[in-house]
Amino acid sequence: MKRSIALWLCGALLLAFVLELGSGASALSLPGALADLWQGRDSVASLILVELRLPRALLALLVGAALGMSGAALQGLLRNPLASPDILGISQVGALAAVLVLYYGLSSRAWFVLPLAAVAGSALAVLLMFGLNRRHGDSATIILCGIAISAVAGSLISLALNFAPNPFAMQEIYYWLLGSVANRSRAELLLALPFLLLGMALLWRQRAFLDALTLGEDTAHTLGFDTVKAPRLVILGCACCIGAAVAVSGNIGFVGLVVPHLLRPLVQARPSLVLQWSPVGGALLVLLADLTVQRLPGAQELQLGVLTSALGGPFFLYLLFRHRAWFR
Amino acid sequence: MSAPLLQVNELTLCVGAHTLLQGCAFTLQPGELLGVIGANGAGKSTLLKALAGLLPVSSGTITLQDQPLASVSGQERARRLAYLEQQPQSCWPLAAERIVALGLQPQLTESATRQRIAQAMAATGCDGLQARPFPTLSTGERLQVHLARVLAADTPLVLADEPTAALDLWHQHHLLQTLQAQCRQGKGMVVAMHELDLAARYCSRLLLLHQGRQVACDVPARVLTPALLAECYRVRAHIDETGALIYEGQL
Repeated sequence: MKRSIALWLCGALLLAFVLELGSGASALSLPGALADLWQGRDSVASLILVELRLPRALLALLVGAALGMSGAALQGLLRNPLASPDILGISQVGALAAVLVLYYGLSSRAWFVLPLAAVAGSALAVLLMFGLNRRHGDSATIILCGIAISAVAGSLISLALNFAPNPFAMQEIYYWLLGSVANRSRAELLLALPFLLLGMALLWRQRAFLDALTLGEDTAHTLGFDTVKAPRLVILGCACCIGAAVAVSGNIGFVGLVVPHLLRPLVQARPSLVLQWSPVGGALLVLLADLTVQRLPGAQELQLGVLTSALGGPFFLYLLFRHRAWFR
Repeated sequence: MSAPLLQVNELTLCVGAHTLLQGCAFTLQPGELLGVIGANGAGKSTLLKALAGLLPVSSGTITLQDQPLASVSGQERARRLAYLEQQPQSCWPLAAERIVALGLQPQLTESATRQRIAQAMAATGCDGLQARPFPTLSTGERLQVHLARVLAADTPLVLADEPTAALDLWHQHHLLQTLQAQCRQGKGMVVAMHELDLAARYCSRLLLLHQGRQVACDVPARVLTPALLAECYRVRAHIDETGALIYEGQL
C-alpha cells in the first residue's frame, strides 16, 4: 500500500474516533471533559466520557476491526470474494446463541456465558458449513451452505425472541438482526475484549498461510504450511472475532464483506495485506456509520447495520463496475 | 558419489479399493533430470504428488536426502523440495513478482529477496512481467512465473507436473533447457511429461508408468523402445537415429 494512502486511512480512523467521542445524546465539551479527567475531578462530563462515550467508541472500533479482519480471513481461506461473516451465517448463528442465553436466563450465571455462547454459536456455524462439505467441498458449495444456515438462523432469532419470557424481547429483534453499539457500557466492552483480541491474534498469525493459499492448497502444503491445522486456526479465530462482536453489538452486516474488497486494489490483492488493513477499514466504516446514525433526525436511533450497508453498498457497487477485473 | 536426493522403494499407493501406484522404485542423484512418462491416467501426477508429500503412501518408502519423507517437517520439506502443479493458479490477482516471492523463505533480507526474484524471473524468461497481475498473463507466462517461484526457492529437488503441456514449441524447449541448466548446477528434477521426443532429448533418465506400475526406469534409448511404446501407449512408433519420434499407427 502506498504510504500516503496508509496515512490517510489511519488519520481518518483517528479523526472518526475523536468525533465519535464528541458525539452523543447530551452536549459535552470534549476538551473540558478531558481536562476534568486529567485533573482527577469527577465531573458529569468526565463521567459521561469514561462510562458512556469511550466504551461506545472503543466498541465500534473493535467490533469493526474484528468484522473486517474476519471477512478478510474468510475470503482468503475460501479463496472466494463472496465469503463474509454475515453471508456465511456465522454472525446469525452467533446472534442466535446470544439471544438464547440472554433471554432464557443463562447469561446471568457468569460474565463469560454470553460471549462464550456467541463464540460457540459462531464456531458451530463454521463447523457445520465445513463439516457438511468435507468431501468435494468447493467454495461455492460452502457458501451456498452458509446462506442456508444464515436464513435458518435469522428466522430462529425472530422465533426465539417471539417466545421469550421477557415482554420487551420482541422489540429487540432489529437490534439482533441489524446490530448497534448504542448505549453500550464498559461492562459490554470488557465482556467482548478478550475474545476479540484472541481472535484477531489468531488470524494475524495465519497471514503468511493465507498468502500461500492463493496458489492452491497443494502448493501451499509444499511451501511448508500445515493445510490441516492452519485452516482450523483461521476458523477458530473467525469464530472468536465474530462471536464476541455479535454478543455485544448484534449482527452488523456488510462490514466483513465490503471492507476487504475496498482495500484489495490498494494492496495489489495480497491476502496478508488485506488481512492487515481490514481491521483499520472495518473500524473506520463502523465508526462512520455510528457517527451518521447519531446525527440522523428521527425519534429513534437507526440500527447500525442499516447504515453500514447504506454507506458500504453504493461504494462497493462503484468499485465493482470500476475495477471489474479485480473481482473477475 | 554424493548422497541421493531421493530414494523410492517399492512405493504403493491405494485410495479406497483403487491401486493408483504399485511397485515404484528408483533413485535420483543430484544433476539428474528424470522424466516421468506414461499414457493418460498412468499415475504420473499421483507419483509426483506422493513425492511432494501431498498423498499418504500405502506401503513402501520415500527417502528425501537420507530422511523418510513422512518424518520431514513442513518447513524443512519446503527447503528441500519445490513442486509445480499441473495447472498453477492464483485465485487473487497478485502481481507476478509476488507469486515468485511466495517461493522464498521468509527469513531473507529485503535486498536478497529482490535479487532472488529478479534472478529467478530472468532464468525463466519472464523478467519484464514483474508488476503484471496474474489474470492478465497468458498460459505460458503463468507457467514461467510459477516456474520462477519454484526456482527462486532454490531447493535441491524440483518436482514439476507436465510443465510443457500448454506451451508452444519455442517455450517447451526454452523451459526444458532452463531445467537442464539448473540440473547441471547440481539440482535434481522429476518432470512429468507427454512429449516423448522432448523427453528423449532432455531427460537423463525416463520412468515409464503403465496403469500405476513402473514398467521401466532407464536412459531414454532403453525406455522408448517399440515394444514398450506398444505396451504402454498402444501405438506403433519408434525413435529414429536423429532422436525424432516416428509414429506409424495405432494398435
